[in-house]
Amino acid sequence: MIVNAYAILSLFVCGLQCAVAVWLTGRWLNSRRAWSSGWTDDGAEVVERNAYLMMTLALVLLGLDLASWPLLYLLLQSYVPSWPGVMCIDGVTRIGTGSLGASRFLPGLLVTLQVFKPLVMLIGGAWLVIYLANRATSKAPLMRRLLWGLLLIGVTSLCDGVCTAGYLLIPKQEDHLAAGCCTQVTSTTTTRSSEPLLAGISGTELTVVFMLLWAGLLFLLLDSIRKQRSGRKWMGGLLAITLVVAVLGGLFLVDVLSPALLQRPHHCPYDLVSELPESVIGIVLFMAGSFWVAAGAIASFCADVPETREILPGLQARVLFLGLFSYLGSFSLLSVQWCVL
Amino acid sequence: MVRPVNPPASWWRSGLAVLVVLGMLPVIGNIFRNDSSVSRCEWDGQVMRPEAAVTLELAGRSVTCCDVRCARNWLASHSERPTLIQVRDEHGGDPIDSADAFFVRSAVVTNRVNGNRWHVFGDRETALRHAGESRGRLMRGDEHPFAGVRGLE
Repeated sequence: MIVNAYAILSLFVCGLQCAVAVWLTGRWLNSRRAWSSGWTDDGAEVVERNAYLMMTLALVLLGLDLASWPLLYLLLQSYVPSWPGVMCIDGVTRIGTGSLGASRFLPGLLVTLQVFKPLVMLIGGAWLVIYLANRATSKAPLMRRLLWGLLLIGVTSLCDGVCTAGYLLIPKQEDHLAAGCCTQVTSTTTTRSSEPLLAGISGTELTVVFMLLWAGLLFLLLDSIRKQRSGRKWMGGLLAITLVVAVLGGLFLVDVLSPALLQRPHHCPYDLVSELPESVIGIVLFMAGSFWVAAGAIASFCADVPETREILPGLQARVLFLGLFSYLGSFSLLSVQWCVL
Repeated sequence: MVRPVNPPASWWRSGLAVLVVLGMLPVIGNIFRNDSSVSRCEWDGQVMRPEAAVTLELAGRSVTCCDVRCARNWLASHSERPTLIQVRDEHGGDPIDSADAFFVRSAVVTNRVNGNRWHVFGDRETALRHAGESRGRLMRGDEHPFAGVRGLE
């Protein structure tokens, strides 16, 4: 383990995350036993008593998950000086590749972490929307779905915490890169960040396609908010377009945006963390926009019961409003950044 | 019972205000970031040591790289040909035209990130002494690091 302030802070946060996740899962199992034996008065009381605690724990857990996300990148950034050939976070993510010891798991753990963190946020966002819809009713018809959502949040957060702890505790000192992570020469293993992800498509084509789809999505969001559209087909379509835009956004970030903002020929978005930190806010807003829209769309499928049919369109309009302005904020910040540079 | 309604007008006004603030962030960041104090290589973005910098003079602009290796990589991937390549003497850091400089490729790595082993000297004696001390060789003719650059021929 490389001990520095960020490593200790990350270990503390992931310890808390695991403890709260285990507590939440334990309470969930306790409630499950009560409700699987039939909805008796005693069972209903146990579930009700646990429900408030579990929902509070879930909110705490989501807060910890949210805090641990930027902390992961700050931790990786703090590891950069630990190896002579590492220039940025991209180099740190490759430490352990080809190693025979326990450090061979490090790259895999980082990939897993980078999948789990957005996944927890997506589940958490969708759960929050269902929770708000349920709260607006008098008979709490979505309670069972909310409880299943709590289990999902607990288990995903626990996996995330365990992976973080594993990454922090596995020794890393014996591994060295043969050459710089961002340079093109010396070895085939060091060329990753020098090549675009889409080799056959030019940056201009990718930019045009991405911008057109993104603008289309913004228009659809505005239309959904103004007309309170919340049908399953409409929201399913919105979810599909959001997923496509999110994937294209990732490709655009690596192939076009980061080389343009950093004014360098290689494609390493991790450099933005240390060199243009304000642009990271733009990227985070883009992701937040995608999460809000996805959460709003998922609510159409999971929170649509007769009791919520009246309030759901208004709630979704608010969630989509957050998505729309997150996207617009991202566009505003990154376009100004591009022009300023 | 809480009944959510449409986003009220105040939300739209607040949203627009947030957009304006976000749009100003890069401008503020650019003002506070003192980029002029640190110069970076145009090939790999490393912070440059002035005594090893290589400047490629192109039509209307110049490109600065952190050392000979980065400069060669830059040239290999661009079609633009420089009219002048300026290197710096390892001893003293004086700028020299690459055609007048003495290049030694030795076992001493000057940059662990890109593995540069090119050393630049302003005089032949120092170059030969470094070559002798560091298992190196004076690179001339076709072995000159910028021999293939058509603009200089």
